[in-house]
Amino acid sequence: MTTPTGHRLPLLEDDGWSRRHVLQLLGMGALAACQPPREPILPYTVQPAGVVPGKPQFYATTMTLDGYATGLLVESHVGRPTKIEGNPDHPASLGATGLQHQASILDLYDPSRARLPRRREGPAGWETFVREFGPLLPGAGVPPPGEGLHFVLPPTTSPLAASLVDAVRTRYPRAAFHFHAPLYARAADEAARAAFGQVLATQRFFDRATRVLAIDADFLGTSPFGVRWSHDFAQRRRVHGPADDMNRLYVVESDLGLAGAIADHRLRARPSEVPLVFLAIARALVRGSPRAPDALRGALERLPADLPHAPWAEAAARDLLQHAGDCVVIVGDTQPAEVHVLAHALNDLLGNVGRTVAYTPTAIVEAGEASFGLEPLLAAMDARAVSTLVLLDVDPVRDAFADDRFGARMAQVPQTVCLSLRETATAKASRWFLPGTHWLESWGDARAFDGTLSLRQPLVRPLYGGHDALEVLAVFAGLADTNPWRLLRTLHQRTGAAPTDATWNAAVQRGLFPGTAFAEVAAAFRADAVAPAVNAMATRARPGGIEIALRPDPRLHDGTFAHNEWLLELPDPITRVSWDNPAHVSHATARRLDLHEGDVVEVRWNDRSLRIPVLPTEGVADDTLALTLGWGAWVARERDVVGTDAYPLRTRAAPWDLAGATVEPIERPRPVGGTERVRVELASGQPHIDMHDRPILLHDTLETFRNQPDFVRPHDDRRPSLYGAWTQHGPQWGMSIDLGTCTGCATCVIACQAENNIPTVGRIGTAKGRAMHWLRIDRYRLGTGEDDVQLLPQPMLCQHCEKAPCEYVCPVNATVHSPDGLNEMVYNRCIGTRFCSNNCPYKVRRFNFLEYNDYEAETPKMQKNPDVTVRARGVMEKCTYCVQRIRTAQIEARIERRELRDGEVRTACQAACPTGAIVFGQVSDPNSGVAALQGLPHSYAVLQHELGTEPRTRYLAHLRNENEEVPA
Amino acid sequence: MDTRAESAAYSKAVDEPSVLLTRAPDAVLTRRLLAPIWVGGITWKVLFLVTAGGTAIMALAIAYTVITGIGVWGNDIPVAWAYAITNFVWWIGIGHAGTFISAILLLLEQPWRTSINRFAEAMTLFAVLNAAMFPVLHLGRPWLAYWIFPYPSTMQVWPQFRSALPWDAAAISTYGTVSLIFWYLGLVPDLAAARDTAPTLLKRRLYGIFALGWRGSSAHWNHYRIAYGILGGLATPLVLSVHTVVSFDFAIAQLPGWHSTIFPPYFVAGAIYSGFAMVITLMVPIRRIFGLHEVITTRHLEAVAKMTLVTGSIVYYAYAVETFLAWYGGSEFEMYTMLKDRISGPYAWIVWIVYGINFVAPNLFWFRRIRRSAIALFAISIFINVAMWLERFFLIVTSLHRDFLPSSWRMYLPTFVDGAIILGTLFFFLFLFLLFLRFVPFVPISEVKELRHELAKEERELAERAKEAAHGR
Amino acid sequence: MAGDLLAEFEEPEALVEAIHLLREAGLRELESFTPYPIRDVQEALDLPRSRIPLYCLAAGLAAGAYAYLIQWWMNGFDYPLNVGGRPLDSAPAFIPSTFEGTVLGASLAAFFGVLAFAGLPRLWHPVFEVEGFERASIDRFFLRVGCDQERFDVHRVLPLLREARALRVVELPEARE
Repeated sequence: MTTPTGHRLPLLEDDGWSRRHVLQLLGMGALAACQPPREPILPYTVQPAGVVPGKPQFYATTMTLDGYATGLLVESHVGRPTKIEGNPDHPASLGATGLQHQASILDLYDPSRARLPRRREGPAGWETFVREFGPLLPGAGVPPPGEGLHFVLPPTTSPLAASLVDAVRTRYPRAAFHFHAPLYARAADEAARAAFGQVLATQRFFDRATRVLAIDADFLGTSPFGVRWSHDFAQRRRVHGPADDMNRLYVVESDLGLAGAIADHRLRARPSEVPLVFLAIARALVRGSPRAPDALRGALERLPADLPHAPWAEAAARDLLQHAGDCVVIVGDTQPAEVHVLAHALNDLLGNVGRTVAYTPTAIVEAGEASFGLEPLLAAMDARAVSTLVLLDVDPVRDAFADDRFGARMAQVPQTVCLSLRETATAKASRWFLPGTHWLESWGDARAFDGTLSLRQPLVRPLYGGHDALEVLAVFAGLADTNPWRLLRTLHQRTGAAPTDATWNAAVQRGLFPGTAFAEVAAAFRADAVAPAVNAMATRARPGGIEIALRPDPRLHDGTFAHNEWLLELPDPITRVSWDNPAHVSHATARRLDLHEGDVVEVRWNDRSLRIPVLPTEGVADDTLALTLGWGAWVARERDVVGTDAYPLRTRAAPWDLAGATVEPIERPRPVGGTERVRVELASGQPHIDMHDRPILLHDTLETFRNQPDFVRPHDDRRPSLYGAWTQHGPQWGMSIDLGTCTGCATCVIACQAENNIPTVGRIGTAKGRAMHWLRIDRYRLGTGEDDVQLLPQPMLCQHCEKAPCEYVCPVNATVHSPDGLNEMVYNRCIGTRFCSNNCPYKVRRFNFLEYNDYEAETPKMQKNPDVTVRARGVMEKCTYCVQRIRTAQIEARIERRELRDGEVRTACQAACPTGAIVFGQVSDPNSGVAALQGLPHSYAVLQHELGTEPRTRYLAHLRNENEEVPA
Repeated sequence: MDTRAESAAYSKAVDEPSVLLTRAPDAVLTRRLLAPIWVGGITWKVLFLVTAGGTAIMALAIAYTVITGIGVWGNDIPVAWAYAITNFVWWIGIGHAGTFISAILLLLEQPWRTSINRFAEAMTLFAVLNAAMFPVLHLGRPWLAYWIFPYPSTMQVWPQFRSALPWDAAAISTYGTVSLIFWYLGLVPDLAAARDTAPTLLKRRLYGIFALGWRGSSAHWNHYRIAYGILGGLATPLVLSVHTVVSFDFAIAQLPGWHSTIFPPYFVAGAIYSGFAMVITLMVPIRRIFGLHEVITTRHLEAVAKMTLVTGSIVYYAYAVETFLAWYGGSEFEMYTMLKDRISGPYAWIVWIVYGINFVAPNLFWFRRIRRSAIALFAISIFINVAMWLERFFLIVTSLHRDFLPSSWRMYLPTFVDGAIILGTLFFFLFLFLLFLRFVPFVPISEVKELRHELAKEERELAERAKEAAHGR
Repeated sequence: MAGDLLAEFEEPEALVEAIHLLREAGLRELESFTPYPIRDVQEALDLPRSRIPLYCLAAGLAAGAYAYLIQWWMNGFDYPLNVGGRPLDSAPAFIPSTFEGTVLGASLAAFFGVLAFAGLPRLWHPVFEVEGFERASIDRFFLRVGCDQERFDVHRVLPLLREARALRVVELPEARE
């Protein structure tokens, strides 16, 4: 028998060959279909029963990143999840989302997901697996008490997972569990244990802080709490009038992060320097505060007098002291424990604890315990004491420390079981492989950063017939019923979280159990912890040579999203490079080493080496090479490995910062003789960052704004026009973007891509300048010099000009103005002259140079938003202000015989924005939020005065809160 | 009698080389001028095959583009126009010299135009044909190009006439049509002559059909002359309007370097300038190959060279003015494009090549020796053709690749398909031209005879006066 | 009754002379056939001025008006759209197409005017039956003398033609109707 695509199906002799597996194979023949989950799922808000065809429904569910829950609402069209929004009720979201949340919908439909369970080489069914390891024949696979049975799991906050782990332990007392994730900050746990005697989570309340000191912490970017923290930070950043107050951000870091890019004062420091600068600040603080504990004072005073960047540190310290009690000192997860300890000490010293900082129990199961990390497992494997190794949703072969040689060790384990979404390196090395499930395909639970218990309800049955890690645990626990939904219900009935159907349904509908956040813990800081910490920091070796900073990737995180085309094509929020992760190096160092953009270099550190292209870029510390982790996966769309995998450089001794490396450009013989540099062309989303003193991204200091609130007026006032105003009627739409609170995280870009069916064009297309993003994040360099500059973000999308230059040059009326002020693009009418793009001063129009949509693969089509046209080759497209959402809302209002409410229409970018920088609405309604914002003194339209385009999209100028005491 | 001496006397009298040197009887002259269409040569066959091959390349490149999408070209955002529009402007410009010669010089009663106007017009036709391909080809969806015309559409969504592109469509189609009928009308009497000297019945019938039964009767000539004059009168403003409209494609946009009021005169001058260069490029070899030194004389070379000098100087003046106005206008964007990017930007080398050639080449024509040397003219004309292509290229690309927001600045790099198409159109142009040389009398025979008839009278009178003067002394 | 006479001349001067003689003799229906237009001949025959210019003017004006109106109707009236905030009847923008329309109309009128007035295309004509008439398009000059006009008398006409150095005079066959 053969599938429609002619795949020869193996004979069905294996007992595991149920109808489902045939379907799975047919799935490969592109027959995968969206089916509702078998268990009852409930829409977010109460909606008409059943599914109204053509009318999307929203379901509350939960996505975990690094184990922490973020509550989301998923838009579903007749059973097809198409778009992800934030869950306003959820503390980690407050209605907003992060990059990865927006993009993960694409992974659900990724055709390159694993489809087929197998044992050794041959296919084998789930039933076979259950029979081998499950309860039916006790001990068939592994005899109790589970001697040599080891599990590797990612760190989890899920009570269900915890209970199943316990269940497995009761069946197999000797079984060992190991929690592993490459980015997990064990240092923070160790520090907490050292500082408070127990593992605690540190909660920061940036919405209460007027001063923030971030030590190598991109708390707005790569942190798993970035969404919530960005929201809180913006609360104190937002300035609407001269009277408003504004927080001030100090950042010390080696590589430019989102927070650093918008910081009021940022210090470039080599990885080995960062702790010393921190010490300098600490000492200045201690000297400035009489009531500093002696232990701390003593330890700091014993330090050598000449700490780097002392003047900067002292200025910052003075400022923090003046705002003692309403400031936050935060240290990045990539810093060692002692630095975290010092941070705890300083927050304590500044009296922030209880006001801007608090401590709660950690949501991570068994955090800080022996089960964390792979060390015991490695030892056991060396001792040949591992008989069965079960790896669930982890890929240690790829992301464990290089010197763990996990792959080699694992090869000696007789029985290995691996479950994951894809055929990972670990999967390929395993005897048993089971396809995993996407989080939208299976039930589960998890806790948010503050402990809030969140529910994960699936929106579809596993597309490729996968199984959840929870089910595998249940099998090993010997449970007869491994259905996660029933497990979940019974568990939470037992715990009392959801005793009744009503409470359960309510929780499922809201996606969380209200009031389950952890209570704050009154933790006393142990003064005796500080001295060892300070000494450890001071004595930290600081050898010369090139230092390497390994960092999480702002797009791919730890590599979980290495196959996500949206994230791969998204220009890096800072360097604007897409489809690659070049090593960042400062311009000065690049000149010293004679390195140029795209040069492939050989990075050597001890006995390890790596070949990677370099990118001279802004804000990188000198003599430092900043690499991001998580790249180097083979991507089907490119039929190639994308980016460079930096894990091979990562060792247990130096997980983040490597000192004493060498960098050598690679030469190759030229055919004509001689040699030449090996170079790659980096696909940059924005080659030029110099604003050429043009009034595009208007910015100034808070002081200037207070003295002259309308400093933007000269670039915004309208010049007399020959054309009279067009008489408009009905609602008039407009947008306001606050450049003061925009962090440039680019979540809006992906949200727009997901909402508007925007295709990807691949590495070559992006390099050619054909990326299709309707909304892009421009970065402009502020300040003189190359390295010590600010890189300010400016979201750039169709400005919906009332005197639109694009419209009058279209020969076929394909782009015209709607009565409600939208610049409309009529795809069917477009013949593709591209004159409109030429005449668009903002260059926000995108052209389908080729056929960018895949009409072959079945599953990616399911993600498409049915309310938005999929554009064919040869037509122009651009931002529509999410007109489909406007019209839907207008129809709703018409049906309910009422006026549109302000804020009823939210564009995809606005809904996703963590800081609420984007506000959309009716400018014709004086009481609307957008009208108020556009009326602010520092609201301006880009190039309005210069070109008279009269855009409907207006920006609030960027303001920075400078401390003149800080030396430049 | 010694015809050479006679014409020499004439030359002295008017102090210029004669526009016509032949004294052969009408019958002989006619036979000689018609000979190429009756007997083909091996050279022609070879050239024909070569150019046919080149045309095939063009056809393939075009097919590939239409099937795959214009993504196979180098265009991107922001540089959404590049080679195709460059080729369009270049070709249409070349066409202009033909009309200029046949129409404007007709009105100015320049006798020297006679011998070359026929193939100048043919040049126009084929250039317009080539040019007209590109506005269609460069579309994202070429098969919908007709939407730009106000045809009775059931969708009732009409063209948008505020855009310069419908103006283009109108101008190009009008220009093509008028050039064709102008050319054909002038051809009818010669087709009749071809009909009447055809060696075989088939050819006689074919040419007879195209000759429409022309008899050269007094009534025919009466209306013919009037209509021909009117067409000349109409073609004159037309040719000026066409490149004006072409220049609007850029001038109505607000891009720095495009948005300039000098564009219409600038473009028209540039067009005629490049057109005359192409006339030289074609005229010199034809004159040599078919031994037409008696019909296309040094006088023609000189006249064309002078035209090139005049128009070239206008073009150079335009360079100066648009640059000056960029500075004088004070727009920072204009200033950046004109005074910085073009002068020292990544495409500056092209700009300087153009400025260099267009300054040196025409000014060489101040020298009579160069004006009269066919070889020199030919060489220079090639340079001018190249320079004028490059000029259109940097005009389009430098304004696009760095406009208002530096965030969207990008370079443009052509692909091999871009190259294949422009190369192919060159072959296609020569291909059509070879067909024209082979099957159509490419020197207007009746006009030449008429001209000679009048010159003969003129010369007789001059000779008389010369004799009387001699006797008088 | 005899048909028209067709006289062949070697050079235009002879033809002109013949025309003068015949016109003095009061003959009006004369038609010359020449390889190229000859001013003297045209003057001698004193033909009425061609009315083609009038038709061109009319056609040009009509086409121009049509061109403007259709633009106004399409963009300003039938399907009014807000395009870049420009006025619906953007007169200046409608001028280029209007001009092109005018030229096209006039040019076509001129071309088809010639065909109409000259009665072309007409692939057969009695004169083509005359042996050697081919040279009318090459190097010979012919004169047709209409026979059905009063004062036409072969015996008066032939001597005049001979006086004007006609190479030969033949009688045209009747046009087959």
